[in-house]
Amino acid sequence: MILPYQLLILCVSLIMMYSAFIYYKRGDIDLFSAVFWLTLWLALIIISLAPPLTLLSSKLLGTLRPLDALTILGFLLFSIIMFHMYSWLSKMKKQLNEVVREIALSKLSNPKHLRNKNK
Amino acid sequence: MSKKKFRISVVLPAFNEEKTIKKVIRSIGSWLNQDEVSVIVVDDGSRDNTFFEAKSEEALVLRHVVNLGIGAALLTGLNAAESLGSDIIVFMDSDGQHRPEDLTRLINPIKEGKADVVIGSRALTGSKGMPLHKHVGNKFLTWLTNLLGKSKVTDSQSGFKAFRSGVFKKINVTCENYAVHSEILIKASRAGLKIMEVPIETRYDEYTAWKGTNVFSGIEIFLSLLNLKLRGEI
Repeated sequence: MILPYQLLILCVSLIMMYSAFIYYKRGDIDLFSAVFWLTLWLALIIISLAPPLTLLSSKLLGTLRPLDALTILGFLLFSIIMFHMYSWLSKMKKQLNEVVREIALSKLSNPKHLRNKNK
Repeated sequence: MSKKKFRISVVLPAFNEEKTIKKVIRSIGSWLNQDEVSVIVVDDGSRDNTFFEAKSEEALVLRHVVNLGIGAALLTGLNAAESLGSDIIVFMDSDGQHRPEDLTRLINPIKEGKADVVIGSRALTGSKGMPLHKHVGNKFLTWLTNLLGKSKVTDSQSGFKAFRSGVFKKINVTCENYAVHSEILIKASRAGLKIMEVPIETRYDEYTAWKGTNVFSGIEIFLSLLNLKLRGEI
């Protein structure tokens, strides 16, 4: 029998897998990103439907409870994702600044600004 | 003093300054009437009428289509000033807090070859009227700038500065936020350029007192300088 928390994870994960698939089809994300997110959500579904699997992660990481191992793994995973997002945003900001500056400087051919030119 | 006619560019970074920009642009020409002057307004993605107000005046108006911050606006203005072949580049605030009559005091040491960089220092006139939070932040950031640049300036965060154009061929400015002021001074000092300060007075009123830097921008400046130090740029 499926417990309420398993149902919740299953629903959310399926919606997110569908979203990842749609984003891939639209060309918003590349194949690598689509596979990464689909694998992540699929793993969540498997773990929620087969909780004994988490015992393995507990044994591998040497934690007392399976939940501790999942928390550590989750924290690590989201730290990595956050770092990549931060790097990506910094890069995008730099590129945006360059583009905005290029657009601004493209209007440099206006002679009206010169004062006292003929004095 | 040399009678040479200098090409001077006054860079005004502006963000939502529709109330003051016209007055500031008009005031500049009357104080620099011996030289060829370009007023460069960089509208940094204003949401008000700053762009059109400035455009109606005798100024070169450049527009950032989105707001990038003061440092980015200054760098755009700097690029434009260099393209125009300026001899002297002046940074000035567009909210009206700087007195245009101080312009000559700021650029004369450069004309006379006594300085490469001239800072309009508010500290030399006792930082009159400066709100306490700005005063404390300015003291700390000036101390930090002096520490990193091995310099002895009294007002590193002043937005009223003049530069001999060759300065920016010797130093590479990368900061796109308020840290740009400290970065320029630190790099100029380390490059052995002559830095001079002249006393200026600033007008603080309800409008200008809460504009510009605050505690958060102070923290941002500190982190940016730390970042530059860790990357070995300063």
